[in-house]
This record gives sequence, structure tokens and C-alpha cells, in this order.
Amino acid sequence: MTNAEIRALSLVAVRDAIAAGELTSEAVTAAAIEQAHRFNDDYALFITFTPDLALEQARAADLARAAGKPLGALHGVPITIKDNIDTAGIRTTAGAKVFADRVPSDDATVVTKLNAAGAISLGKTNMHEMALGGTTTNPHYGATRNPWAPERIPGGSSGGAAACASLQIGYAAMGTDSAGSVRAPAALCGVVGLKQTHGLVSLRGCMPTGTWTTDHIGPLTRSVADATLIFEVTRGYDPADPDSAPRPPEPCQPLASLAGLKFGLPENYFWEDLDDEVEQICRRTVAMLIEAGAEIVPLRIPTVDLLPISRPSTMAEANVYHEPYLREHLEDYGEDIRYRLLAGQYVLATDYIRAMRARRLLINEMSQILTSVDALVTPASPVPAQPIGFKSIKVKDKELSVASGMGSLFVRNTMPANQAGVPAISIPAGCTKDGLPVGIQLITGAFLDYKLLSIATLVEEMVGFDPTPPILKAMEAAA
Amino acid sequence: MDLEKLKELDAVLHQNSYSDEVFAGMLPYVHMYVATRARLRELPLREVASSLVMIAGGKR
Repeated sequence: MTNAEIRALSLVAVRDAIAAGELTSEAVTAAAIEQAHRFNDDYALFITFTPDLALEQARAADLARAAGKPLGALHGVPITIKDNIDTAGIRTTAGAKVFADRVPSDDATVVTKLNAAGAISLGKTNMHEMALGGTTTNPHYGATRNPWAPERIPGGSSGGAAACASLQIGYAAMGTDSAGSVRAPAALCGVVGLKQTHGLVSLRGCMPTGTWTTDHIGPLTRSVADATLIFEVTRGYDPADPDSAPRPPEPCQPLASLAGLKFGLPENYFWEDLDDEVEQICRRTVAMLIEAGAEIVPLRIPTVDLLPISRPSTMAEANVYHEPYLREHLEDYGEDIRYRLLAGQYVLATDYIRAMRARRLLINEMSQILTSVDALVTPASPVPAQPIGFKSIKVKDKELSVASGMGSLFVRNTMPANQAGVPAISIPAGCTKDGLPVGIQLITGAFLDYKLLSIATLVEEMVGFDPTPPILKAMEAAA
Repeated sequence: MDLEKLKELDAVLHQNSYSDEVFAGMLPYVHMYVATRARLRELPLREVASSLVMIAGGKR
């Protein structure tokens, strides 16, 4: 098997091949490292790339297998980890200059679980500074490029993770998602992005740099099955995490068909002000659902229009974390987040409390609506990937600038699931005429993660999207 | 709110010694907050439970 063929395997397939002795972890890891070396300089994929450590761990994984030791669910499989998830002894910067020399002494719980399952980290992926934006044009560690269109952003904040998943550098990329930072870059890079029910995956060791009450750690993968495996490995109650849920998700037998399932189509908010081609592709996906026998239920979610009210809480939470660093190192913050973080100091406590209570209105309404349908279906990102360095976005007849809050446009449709805590997934739905991927988002009720993944598997099969970017196809053709 | 009002607010609350450039940089974001605040205050929230509920004993 060539290195390109090894890299193109799914996570489940490569795991099984290693377990069966058909491939060694060293060979698999070396193939991923080869790809990382090929793209890292131009694409700014990693903040800290650790190939030597990865190879050392891969050889140890092969020895363990040869010795007949029990194998974990990810034994010998290389993955990547976003640089705001703590890794003991390996610097973890959150994409920030102020944390350039920060080396955690402990692994995040999720890293402990991945290590225990036998996963091998290739390194820490680039991200939007402090996870506070959707471009991954990082002023300190470089602008990550989109594998489908290298002059464009990969989205963010888990942009390095999305690019690695797309470029077949590792078989899963761990990201974080406080407003859509897994699902939005997944949509823009043509991969799958999962944000499970809040509390099912521990956040201990995830740097709380922004909005800690809506944050999640989740995987970006090339298939729903691979995301499901990572969810299985990483979920579980963690008494050290005050947000951790002391209950498992509801079990769900794999669904055989989309026929008879009810999909809620929100008529307000989610389908408004979309890029024309994004709308066309997502409506085509809805039409395919109908053809497959699903029922589409038009509905309205009035409280979702209140989402901008979350601004006081996010501004205040981020300011509290950053205040000591802002005081001493203001110039070390990128310009796009510096003033936003500082402005959080003027948020009144009364408004923070109101925002937290207002969020409950959304939670209650979403919970109610999600008992009447099997899933909501929405576009994941309202717009496709934009050119690196863009200053405004034109949607319909509106020209949105940075000053008008454009920065949150990429996560406009993903943010409600964070505010409500319910699970959501982005799956590739197609490409624009310029070859830019578009994602469709599915949302289910809290703790119905397995049902979400089962529905997503069927939708993925229905769409039949090939997640291989043109640059890899060209390499394959030239080889 | 204009630049001078923001500087007055800061003098009351924090007494920061920012340059005019820093105050000007913050101003659009303060405007966003003020704009959403008005809507927030219209909501009947007095008897709504907070979504900020943490489990005792957590360490994160």
C-alpha cells in the first residue's frame, strides 16, 4: 500500500488494519508526517509539530501490539490536537503570543482519554487567536490555508484542525467549538464536524480563553463514522469538570432509512441572508431528504432571533480571563480581538445575569421544538470560504464589514446549538461553482447524540460527497 | 456613546490610562453591547432560571 493509499483510509479502517497487523502504526504515522511536511510551511497547519515524538509513540504502539498487550480503540492511530487543549510537556498557546511559552503540566481529560485509547498526536494545530474568530488568519503563527482553495481561509477557530483533516494529516483532528469553531471550519473545508451535547465530553484542560459556558471539544473527521468513534472514546462523566453531565447519551439503534423521519426547517434566522450558492446547495439537500421519504416540517424558533443578546455574556467572560494579560501585554494581542476583549470590562453584572437567563429561554424553546421533530436541518455556514485578508462579505444585497459584526457571520447558524447545549453536526453537502465546500447542519435534542450521528450517517450516504480536495487528487494523478 | 462619554465612563469605573487610540478601538464593540442591552432589558427574565449552573466539586 502506498503512503497516499494509507492516508486515504478512514479512521475506522486504519485502526482495524493496525489491529490486524496489516499495517504498522509506524508506517501509518510516517505517512501522515510526510504529508504534514509537504504542506505545513505553506499552509501554517501546526503551531507545535511533534513528528519525532509521534514516531517514538508509534514504534511503542507496534511493540505493544507485538507483545500481545490489549489494544485501545485508537491503537496506533495518528491524530492532531488543537492548540488550546492542554498537553502535558508540550506547549499549548491557544494561538496567542502571550501564551507562546506556556507548557501545561497536565493533559486535558480528553487527551488522557485519547492517549489511553492508543491515539498518537502529530502536534498542536493552528487556530484563530484565543479561539475568538472564524478565519485562522493568525497574526503570530501564520494564516492557515483552505485545502480546497489555498488563497482562502479554512474558517475557524479550529482552522488548522480542519485543514489537517482535509489534507489527510491524521485520521481525526480535535477542535473546540464555543459558537461553531468545529462545525464552521468543517463546512468550509469539506469535512465532518461534531459538537456533542454540552457536558458529555470533559472540558477540563481546555483553555477557557473566550466563552467558557458555551465551549465544547469535538472532532473534525472525513466521515461521520470516524466522528462517532472519537465521540465514543472521548465522552464520559468527569467529576473535575463542573460542566460535565453525570449521565450518558441516550442509546440509539442505527437507523435503516431516512423515510419517515421528521426534519424541522426553521423559517426564521437560519435560512435568512445566505450566499446564493450555499442556499441552493442546502435546499437541494432538503429536496433529497424529501425524495428519500423524510418529512419536512416548516417551523419558527422565535427566541433564536435574540441570540445577539449573548454578547454581554461572551464579552464579559472573555474579559475576565484575559484582563491580567491585557493590562501587561496589550500589544501582543492581534488587532481583531484586542479591542473586543478590552470592551468586555464595561459589561454590567446585571446584563451578564440577564444574558444568562435569556439563554434559558432559548434552551427551553429549542428543547420543546426538538421533541416534535427528529432533527433540525440548516446550512452550517451562511457563506463559503472567503479570501485570506478579506475585509467585508457581500451576502444578497448586503455588504457586511468587520465593524458590523461580520466576524460572527460564519458561526451565525452554529451558535444556537452552543447556547442551547444541544448536539449538532456539520456534514459536507456539495461545492459551489468555484469548488468551495458547503456544509449542512443537523441538530437534535440534548443527549440524543447517537440519534444525531445515525441520521447524519444516512444523510452523508445520501449526499455522497467526496472529501478529497482537488490538490490531493492532483497529487494522486501525478504520482 | 461617543469617545468622550466612553472615557468618562472609564474614569468612573476603572481609571484606565488608555490612549485615545485604544478607546477608539473599543468604541464599536461598546456600541454593539449597548445596542443588544436595550433588547435584553425588554425581556421578562425575573423568574427565568439562569443557564449558568455548575456542579459542586468541579475543578475546571
